[in-house]
Amino acid sequence: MTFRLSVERLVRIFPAQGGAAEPTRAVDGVDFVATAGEITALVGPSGCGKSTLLAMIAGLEPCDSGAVRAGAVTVTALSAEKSALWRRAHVGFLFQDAGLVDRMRVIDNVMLPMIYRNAKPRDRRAAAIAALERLGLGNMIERRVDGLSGGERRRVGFARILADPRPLLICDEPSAGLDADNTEEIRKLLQIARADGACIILATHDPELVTVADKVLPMRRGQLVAPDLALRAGAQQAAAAS
Amino acid sequence: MRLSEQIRQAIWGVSAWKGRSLALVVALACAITTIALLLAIVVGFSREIERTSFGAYARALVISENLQVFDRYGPPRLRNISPLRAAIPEAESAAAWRSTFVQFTLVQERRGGFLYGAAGAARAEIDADLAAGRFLNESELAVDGSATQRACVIGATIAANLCTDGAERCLDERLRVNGRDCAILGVLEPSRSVSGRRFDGAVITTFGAAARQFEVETQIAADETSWITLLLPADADRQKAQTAADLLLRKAVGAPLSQPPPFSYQDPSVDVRDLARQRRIFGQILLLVGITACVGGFVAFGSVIAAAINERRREFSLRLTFGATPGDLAGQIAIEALLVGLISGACAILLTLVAVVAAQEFVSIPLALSLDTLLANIAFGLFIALLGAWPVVWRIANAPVNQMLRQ
Ligand SMILES: Nc1ncnc2c1ncn2[C@@H]1O[C@H](COP(=O)(O)OP(=O)(O)OP(=O)(O)O)[C@@H](O)[C@H]1O
Ligand SMILES: [Mg+2]
Repeated sequence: MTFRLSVERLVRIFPAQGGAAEPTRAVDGVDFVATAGEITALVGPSGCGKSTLLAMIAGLEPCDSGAVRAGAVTVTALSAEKSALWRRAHVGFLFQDAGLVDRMRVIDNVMLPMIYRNAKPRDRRAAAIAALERLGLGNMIERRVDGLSGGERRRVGFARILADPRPLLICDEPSAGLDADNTEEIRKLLQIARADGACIILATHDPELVTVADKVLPMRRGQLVAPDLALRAGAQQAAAAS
Repeated sequence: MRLSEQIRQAIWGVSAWKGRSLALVVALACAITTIALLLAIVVGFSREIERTSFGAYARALVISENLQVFDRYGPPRLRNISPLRAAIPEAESAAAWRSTFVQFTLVQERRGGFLYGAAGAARAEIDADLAAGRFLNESELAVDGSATQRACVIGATIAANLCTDGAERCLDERLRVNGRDCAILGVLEPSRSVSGRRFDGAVITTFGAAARQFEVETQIAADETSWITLLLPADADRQKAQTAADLLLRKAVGAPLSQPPPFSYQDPSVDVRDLARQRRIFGQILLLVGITACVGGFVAFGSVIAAAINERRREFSLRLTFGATPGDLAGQIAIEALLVGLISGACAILLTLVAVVAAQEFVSIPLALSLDTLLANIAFGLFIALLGAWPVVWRIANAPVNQMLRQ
C-alpha cells in the first residue's frame, strides 16, 4: 500500500501569553491530502504556522482538534510512546539548520536515526558511508561535525535522509541561508527522494525551491488560502505528466 | 531501543563532555571516599571497643578491702566465697586473688614485677590463650587456697624476655621468685582485653604458694585476698548483686549498716561503657558528616546533570524527532549517571585505599577496611548518581514531547 497522508481540519491554538489579548491560532482548520511520490509545499509569511503544522504531522505537537492520518494510523491520536515508534519507522526530517548533534562525528550523526530503528550496526554503517560518499563527504566520515562549514553540515543532513529513506519526509525551510548551488543540491535531493516514492511535505519561503513542488499550499494566519491555487498546481502537474 | 545501543549512546554522552564528566567524577569520588572513610573509622573504632570490652572482667563484681576508711575488718577472705555465691546465685563463677610485688630472676637478670596468686575461675579474668604448657589445674586453683605448689604460669611480656626462641623453650627455663624456684607450667599469649593486660607482665601461681612461700613481707593473713571477683551474666542487675554482697559481708564481719561499707565494690565495666558512649557520640557526629557529604554530592551531581541537560536540549529534541521515546532519553541520562557513578566509585576505591594506607602510616586512627567497605564505594557511587539524576530523568520521561522541543 502506498503511503498516503491526510490532514483533516487540523487546529492548534496556543493560549495567550505575555499580555497578548487573544490566543494564537497557529494552525486553524487545515485540510489537505498528500501521497507518495509527491512534494507538497507550504508557503507563507513568517509566523503563519508552517512549522507548527509540520510538527503536528510528525506527531511532535499535540492537536486541539482535527486529525492527521497516515495510511491506517491516526497520528494525532497516538500516545507519546506510540507516536515515537511510528515516527522512527516512517518519518525523515530535513531541518533549516541541518539538525546535527555537535560533538558527534559525521558518521554517527548520519546513523543517529537508524539506532532508534535497531538497524544492525554493520548495515547502518555501510548505509551511512554509502550516502556520505554519494554526497562527496567520504573523506570526512570520522570528523566531528562542529568543525564543518555550513554547506558541509547541510550535506551531512542530506546524507542522513539518503542513508535511511522513510516514506514521509518533512522539510522545514531546508534552503534558508543557502547559496544557489546548495539550494540546487536540495532540489536534487528532494527529486531523488520523490523518485524513490517518498511523500514530501516542504515548508519554505524560497521561490526557487517552490518550483520543485507538485502542490503548493499557501498559508496565512494558520489557514490555507486560495485552495484553487493548489488545485491549479495539481492540474498542471497532471497535464505535465500526460 | 536496545540496551546495548542505549549504553553506547550514554558512553558517548559521558565522553563527549570530558571536562564536565571529570568534574562530576572528582566531586562524587570525594564524597564517596569521605563516606567510606567514615565507615572505616566507625567500624574500626567499634572493633577496638569490642576488643577492649571483650574480657569477662567487664561484667564482674570486684570486691576488695575498702581503703577509704580505717576499720578493723581487713580484706575479704577466701571463706567468704561460698556464702557470696549462695547469696548471689546468678554469679557464673568466682575467683580470689592475691597480688604482691616480688623480685624475679629470669635467666641471669633480676627484675621486679607482680606475682598473682590465683584461686577459682582465674582464667576468665586473664582472658588470654596459652602459648605453651598448661594453666593451673582445678586442684591447684582450689578455692580454699589449700594448694601451695610452687607452680608458675608466666605472662607474655615476661616470656618474651625469658625465652627468645619460642614459648616452648620457656618451659625448661629456671624462674626464681624472691629467691625461690618456681616451676614454669605454662606460658600465656598476650591478653585480649584491657583489664587482662596486667597479667602480661606478671607471673601467676597458686594462691597458697603466693601467700605462704613467695611473699617476704606478708601484710595480710594467708586466707585474706587482694580481691574477689564474681562474674555476672551480661544482663545481671549489678546493683542488686552488690547490695546482696554488702549485706552478707557486713553480717560476716559484724559491721553494722550505720558504719561505712567495710569493702569496696568496683565496676570494671565503667571504662568500657565510657568508651561505648564515646563511640555513640562519635558515631553520631560522623553520621552527620557522612550525611552532609552525601547531600553535598547529591546536590552537586544533580545540579550539574540538570545544567548539562539544558545545554543538551537541542540534542535531545533531535533525538525525539528521530523517534526516541521520552523513556529512551530518560534511560540514556540514567545510564550516563550510572556510568559516572561507577567510575566515581572505582576512583573512590583507589582514594580510600590511599587514604587508609596513609592514615595507618602517619596517624594512629583505628581504621577497619574490608572488601565490603570497598565495594560499598561502588554502591554509594551508583546510589548518589541515580538519586542526583533522578529529578532530571523523571522530568524528561514525563515532559510532553512538544515542551522538550522548545529551544
Ligand atoms: N509553543 C508555542 N507557544 C505559543 N505560541 C506559539 C508556540 N509555537 C508557535 N507559536 C506561535 O504560533 C505561530 C506560528 O508559529 P510557527 O513557528 O508555526 O510559524 P512559521 O510559519 O513556521 O514561521 P517561520 O516561517 O518564521 O518559521 C506564531 O505566531 C508563533 O508565535
Ligand atoms: Mg518555521
